[in-house]
Amino acid sequence: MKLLEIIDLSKSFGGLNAVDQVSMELIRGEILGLIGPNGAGKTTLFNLITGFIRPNKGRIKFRGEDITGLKANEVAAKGIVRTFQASNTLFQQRMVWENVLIASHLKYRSGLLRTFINTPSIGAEENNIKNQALELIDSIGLSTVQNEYAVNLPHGYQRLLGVCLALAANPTILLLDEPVTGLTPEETSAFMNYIVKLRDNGLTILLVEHNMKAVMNTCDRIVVLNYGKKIAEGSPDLISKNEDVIKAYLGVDINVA
Amino acid sequence: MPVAQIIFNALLLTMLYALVSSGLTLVLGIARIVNFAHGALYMLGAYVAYYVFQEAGLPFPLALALSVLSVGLFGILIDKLLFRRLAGQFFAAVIVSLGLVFFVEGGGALIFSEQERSIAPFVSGNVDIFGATLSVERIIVIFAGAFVMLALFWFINHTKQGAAMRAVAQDSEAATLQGVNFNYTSALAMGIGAGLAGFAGALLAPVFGVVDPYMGQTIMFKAILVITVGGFGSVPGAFTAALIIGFVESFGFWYVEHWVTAMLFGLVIIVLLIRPRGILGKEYIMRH
Amino acid sequence: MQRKLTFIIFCLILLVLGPLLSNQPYWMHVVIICIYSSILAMSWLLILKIGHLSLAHAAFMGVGGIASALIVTKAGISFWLALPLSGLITAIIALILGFPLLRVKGIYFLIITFAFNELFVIIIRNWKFLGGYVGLIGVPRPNAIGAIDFSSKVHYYYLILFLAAVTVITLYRIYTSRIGRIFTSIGEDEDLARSIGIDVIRYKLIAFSIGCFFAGITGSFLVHYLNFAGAELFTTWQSLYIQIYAIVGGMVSVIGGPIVGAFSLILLTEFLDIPIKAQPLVYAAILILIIFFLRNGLISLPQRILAWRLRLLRLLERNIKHETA
Repeated sequence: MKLLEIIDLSKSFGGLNAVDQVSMELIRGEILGLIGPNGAGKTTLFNLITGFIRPNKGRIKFRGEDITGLKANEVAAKGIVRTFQASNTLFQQRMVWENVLIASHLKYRSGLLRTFINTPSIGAEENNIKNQALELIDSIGLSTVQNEYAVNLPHGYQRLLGVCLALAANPTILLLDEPVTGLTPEETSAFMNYIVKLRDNGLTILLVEHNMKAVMNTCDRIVVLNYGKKIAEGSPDLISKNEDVIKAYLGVDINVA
Repeated sequence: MPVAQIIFNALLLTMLYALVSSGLTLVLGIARIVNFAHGALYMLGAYVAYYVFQEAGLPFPLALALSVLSVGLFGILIDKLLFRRLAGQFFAAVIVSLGLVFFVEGGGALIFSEQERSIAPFVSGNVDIFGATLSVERIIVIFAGAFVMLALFWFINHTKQGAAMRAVAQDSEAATLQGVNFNYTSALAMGIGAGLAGFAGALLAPVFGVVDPYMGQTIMFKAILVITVGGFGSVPGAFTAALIIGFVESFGFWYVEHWVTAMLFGLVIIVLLIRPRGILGKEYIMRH
Repeated sequence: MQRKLTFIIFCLILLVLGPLLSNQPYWMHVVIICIYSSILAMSWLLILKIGHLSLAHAAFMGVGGIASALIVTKAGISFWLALPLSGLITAIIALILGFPLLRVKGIYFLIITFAFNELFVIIIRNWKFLGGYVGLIGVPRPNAIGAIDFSSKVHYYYLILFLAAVTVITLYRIYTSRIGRIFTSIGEDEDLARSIGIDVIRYKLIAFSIGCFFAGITGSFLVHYLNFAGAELFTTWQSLYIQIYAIVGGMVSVIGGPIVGAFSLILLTEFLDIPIKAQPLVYAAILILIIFFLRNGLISLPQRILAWRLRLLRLLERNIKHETA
């Protein structure tokens, strides 16, 4: 089932076509990899899908519903949640559990006035969501550091926390923006295993990544961008043999181990 | 009032705003600080001119030179002592620059007393052109202003230091990699910017005839207007905007008086909402 | 923690019972200024917490003040209705202006609010109806309630104390609840907040309106206290003062900081008999020192001193160990 459809999406900055009539789809339950050389338009496409920037042309459909032009927080509310490239995109001055609690924003049903007056139901809801947050922290493996300030976490844990925050927002689709940059090989494979586990539990995942090994080993399908256009699409095997892809990456070692 | 007179006034205002705003925008683009105390530097220049020219009776060009030097040095001092230490902390730097307004103007009020002082013109005489009576003094000021602006353009575009400044304004990291000394260039920018403000203050003091410790405030508002419309960090933009605003104000004043300033502020607010980077500015990259 | 609580209770008792101990009008006037300055500083800080440094807070105070003066003098409405009404009017204007303004990034917002405050002053100065150059004179005292006829400063004192209490309670509720978390998370990282579904513009508008609401009711109080509503009360310099109180007091404590800042600076001026002319200079010097040496403000002083003592103790310990070793 096509969860996400991207139809002829285009975005230009000044004279530069960052994303040029890209069409692709995301199928429910798959892990889709989005790759391409630097400047290919991956980040722009990412930002377009998640509502952080508006396209010039084209449409984005989620579950058949047109979500083109929705604001970032509306896209998140629909169920499409992203992580950020910079690992320190966290609420640095707060502890891990606070971070996750804030990220659980979409789970709250209570209105502002009730929250301000602090009716009894507010306290109950807060406890409920707090417990859910702690469970999430536990399942992702961050419970040992749950009282640490985000700014003090080592790099690997920060990346995990970033994913944890996105998960707290109850996503149907999880978009990961270069999530393993800066991680050791061990950390990387542990992380990618966790991603596969998330998928097996029902999440659909779109992954932008430079680490080819991780991409080839984990993704079901891959879409390749270059100069804003889609130049190839298919299974990892197909992509690694695709001439256009190899040409685009000329000089870069596509090591499929 | 004959049109020639209004145009003449407009040119005078243009020069004034161009001088002050160029300094402000230079500092913004290179040292990356919005120096709210820039207007206060203008005031200091005016007072130096007052004491040297009016009180001590020394020749006016000397007063000009001393203003530029003293205010320029003061600018470098502020930069070294305060702004360099807050490099990268944009928010703190803004707070400090706002505090400086209080400090310099308050200090001025204390030292110079709040009472306004008058200055005699540095040259007397009028000239009749196109039916308008223009004072020789103001003509000289316009030309002096234009000359300094040209010198500034030349400096930025044709000297090594100017090239360094342009490099830093565009990408300070890349510039540092090329061997440009960021701290030195910033201090230089601050010094020149402050010097320009001081020069403007001194030059225009005899023209306006009075100085008071708070005279920097009005000019500060206008300078912010100008750099916003012209684009943060762009000296040519500042000049263009100064031209526009000088003429709008001069013609506007003649027809609508007080409401001119209101109009101008309205203009700024609109510009900021529609095209925040102004006419010639690049998207201002804020360092947090 | 225990000490902090006792200190706060002590201050509260002092504040509430103060006028009964000494009702010298001069000191009551000073403390009244401290209290309403605290309200302004606290409400300003709320706006800062959503990531926006506003230089127009005094202008919003002016909106409330002038609205109140006009409502009472021209429409003959009772002060007690005019007070909340002015706050509401200010909040609505803040909402309308905030819609375009809050979309704009830090430095641009700063400049716009600066320009707005200037524009506000110019408009009032040039419009007779809003006061003109002289301002609105003869703004009446609050309508009498029984024996409380506001002929004495004591009445005003308790009124502003009450308003301050309302402000503190409201802000306390906000900050300790989910709402406060949303506000501060927007201030910390807008994009991150967006990505987890927070409607940033909506919450910014709410926070901005609340902050300006309190500025508005303070304005209303002020004009009926001074019996005057003039542009000089609402200038950009006043906005700067408000900012200085909050920052010197300490931005880390959203309620305590501004109160400490306002009281410390104003009382300092009184106790040291600093002439009005030197005030900006002194305040600026203190502000700059705080930024460089005590970034988290005066309220973080006890903590800092404790930390120093600890370090000193450890240093001494090590020296003693060396001696005995």
